[in-house]
Amino acid sequence: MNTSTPCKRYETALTAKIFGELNAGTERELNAHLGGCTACRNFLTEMEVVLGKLGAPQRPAMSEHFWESYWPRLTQRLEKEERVAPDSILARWREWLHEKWAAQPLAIPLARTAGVLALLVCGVIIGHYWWPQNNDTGRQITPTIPPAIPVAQTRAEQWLERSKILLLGVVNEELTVESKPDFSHQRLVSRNLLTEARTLDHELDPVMDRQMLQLMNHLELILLQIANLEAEHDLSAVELVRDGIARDGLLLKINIAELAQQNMAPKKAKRKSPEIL
Amino acid sequence: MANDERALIRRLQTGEASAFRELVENHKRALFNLAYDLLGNATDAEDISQDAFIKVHRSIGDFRGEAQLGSWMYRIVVNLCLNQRRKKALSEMELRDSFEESELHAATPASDHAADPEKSTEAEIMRQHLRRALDQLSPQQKTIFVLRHDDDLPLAEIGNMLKISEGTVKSQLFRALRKLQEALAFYKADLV
Repeated sequence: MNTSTPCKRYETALTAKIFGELNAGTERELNAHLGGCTACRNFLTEMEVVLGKLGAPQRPAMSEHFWESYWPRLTQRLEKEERVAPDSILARWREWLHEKWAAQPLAIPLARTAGVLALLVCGVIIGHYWWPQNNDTGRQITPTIPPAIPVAQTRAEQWLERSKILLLGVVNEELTVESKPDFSHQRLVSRNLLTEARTLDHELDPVMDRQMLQLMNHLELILLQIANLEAEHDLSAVELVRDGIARDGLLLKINIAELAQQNMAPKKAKRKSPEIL
Repeated sequence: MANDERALIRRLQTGEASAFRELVENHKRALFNLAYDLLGNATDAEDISQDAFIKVHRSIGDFRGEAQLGSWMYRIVVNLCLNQRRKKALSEMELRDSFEESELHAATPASDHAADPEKSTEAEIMRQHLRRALDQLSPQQKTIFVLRHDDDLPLAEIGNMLKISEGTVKSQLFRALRKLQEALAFYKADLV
């Protein structure tokens, strides 16, 4: 069954009118247009029906007991999370120290000094046992094999490269109704990349590869949008994807990540070279 | 920002327990409802609304008052809901394949409600059908629609909340309307 397709030029104005947010100038222009355009008029009528039928959101009527016990449940969760969070342990420890020694103004500076001294003593002891071994200039230096770059990291770099190519394709695709762009291939590639990203998420080191994981997270959102594009002619959705790519500066971020990786490679080699020689 | 809201923020930032309770009591229903509108599940809605309060509790010190407290908390809920939906979509790979499947399922709206006599009125069936069509929107489209239609937030505020332009909000809203219009086409013969 057919629906009324409004004029592209008035799409946002019609939307603003439906939700009562049209400014006076645009309203005058739209009203003049509506006088001669049946499709836009029908669209407005149909949307009035749709929103009327849709009505107010139906929400579950939660019992008074639910609302009364909301606060206890929330505080329970808060306490549980604070017990687990390491910063809260530190905070409690500080609190305990302050309570304990609040009456003695010199106690905290003295404790700090004692802490610094203890660290110094530890440093001297470690140095005493450790230094002679490392200071042995006469010992033969054996070549060491540089550690292999983890497989997951290599795969992540390849994943990044493939994502970049996909984004470049989407950004550079000619977008006109006449060109009839077909995004089925890009959708397929996005799905594959998303599947691979899920594996990489588990394999990459959350600390060492933090930046890579962050970038992947950003990219996954865009990839999900691409994977959800209509197969053909989804022009406004593609424009949104492009907006997202531009807004987040994703291509630039990928380039920076790649440059950083290229810079890291020679440094790693340089660091290892004296030992090899 | 109203004076009493500023005062509440100051009390929250000094760690006053009664201020946090006041905040929760004032906003728990709104945050729960918003999460419910976006996720359609009461258990998830409670979890998300509580996650939001916990986040507020932790980061109130960083709140500079650039937005209203309510808008800030709404934004937290929206982001948590979008994350939840994204995680679900990724874990279940709930992409277009299943979407098309459910769209086929949604094309026969009367079948599963006809058995329930209380819900079998035509208007209720149509309402359910349209609400189901809302679930077929992209997460962003649904969020925008819910914030505007169900929670009555102005378009500009939605744009600020989601960090997108007002123009993008309107075009996403238009796409959402078009999908609802298509869902309504099923009944068009009765309406004309």
